[in-house]
Amino acid sequence: MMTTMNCSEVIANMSCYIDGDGSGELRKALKTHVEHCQRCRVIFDTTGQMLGIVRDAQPFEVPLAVSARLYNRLEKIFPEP
Amino acid sequence: MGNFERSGEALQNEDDLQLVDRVLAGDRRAFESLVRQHERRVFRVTLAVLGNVHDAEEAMQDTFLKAFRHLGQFRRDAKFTTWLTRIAANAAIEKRQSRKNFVPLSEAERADEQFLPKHYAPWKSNPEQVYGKQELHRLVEEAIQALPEIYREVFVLRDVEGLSAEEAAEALGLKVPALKSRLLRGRLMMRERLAEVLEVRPSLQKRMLQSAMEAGTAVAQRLMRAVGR
Repeated sequence: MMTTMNCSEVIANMSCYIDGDGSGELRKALKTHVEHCQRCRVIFDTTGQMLGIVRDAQPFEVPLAVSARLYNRLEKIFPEP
Repeated sequence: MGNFERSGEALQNEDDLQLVDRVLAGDRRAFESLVRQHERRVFRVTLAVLGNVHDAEEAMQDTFLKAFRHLGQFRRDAKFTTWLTRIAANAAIEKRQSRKNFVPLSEAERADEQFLPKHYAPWKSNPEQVYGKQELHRLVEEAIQALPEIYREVFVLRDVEGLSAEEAAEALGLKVPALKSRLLRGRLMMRERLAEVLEVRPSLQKRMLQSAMEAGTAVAQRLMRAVGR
């Protein structure tokens, strides 16, 4: 039987909840805690929202000049036969 | 949707494997296709490790040169993207270690040991409608760039590139528990940073509560008048 966790233990184990890691017992204890603790619930929910926003945003494109220099260099090293 | 994404990834990997075969058979154009397909991923990884575009560019070039030279050693037990990401992380880490102002990672980590959440308010439910796609894209990039590098590289490999904890740990030369503890901190820092913009301001909540109470009072007064008190 898992003892109840305090908020900092819950936050320390948040990734288990997000990634589906760790034992079922641990995830259940986390779930029970966030159902009753508004602060931890907000942290879990908004971390999930953050991950969704990051995935949707597709950050960082290769600047055109950087890309052009890459192809240039590859061209020089591996010339057309 | 998860299944759809997975099958998309599987198709991508099949395409990659065909291109790899063609390169190994001497088709140089096929290598160009591989580069086009993956330059963005490689750039993201080298930028995450190094933190600036100039160094990231050099490491990206090194990555593709190494990948081309060692393509014959690519074993198909992992996805091509995972293999390439590992080379990119290695190239970038090598570059970082050659810097003059290189700080050993354990010291950088200790400086950030005491990280606690400061924002406890929920977020707006429709950030894309509120800020627009472009602005959100910019906010995300800024937040990632603002992470200390030991958290940034872990966050990008795991949560942007979608490597497993084991794959990301291997690519970065970390033990899995160390990767997980950095990932947690990286996630909390990202959350904190975006919260500054995306959270429902407590002042707004208060204002709403205030006006609700005032409206309530007005309604109560009207009711009192109506019943003649």
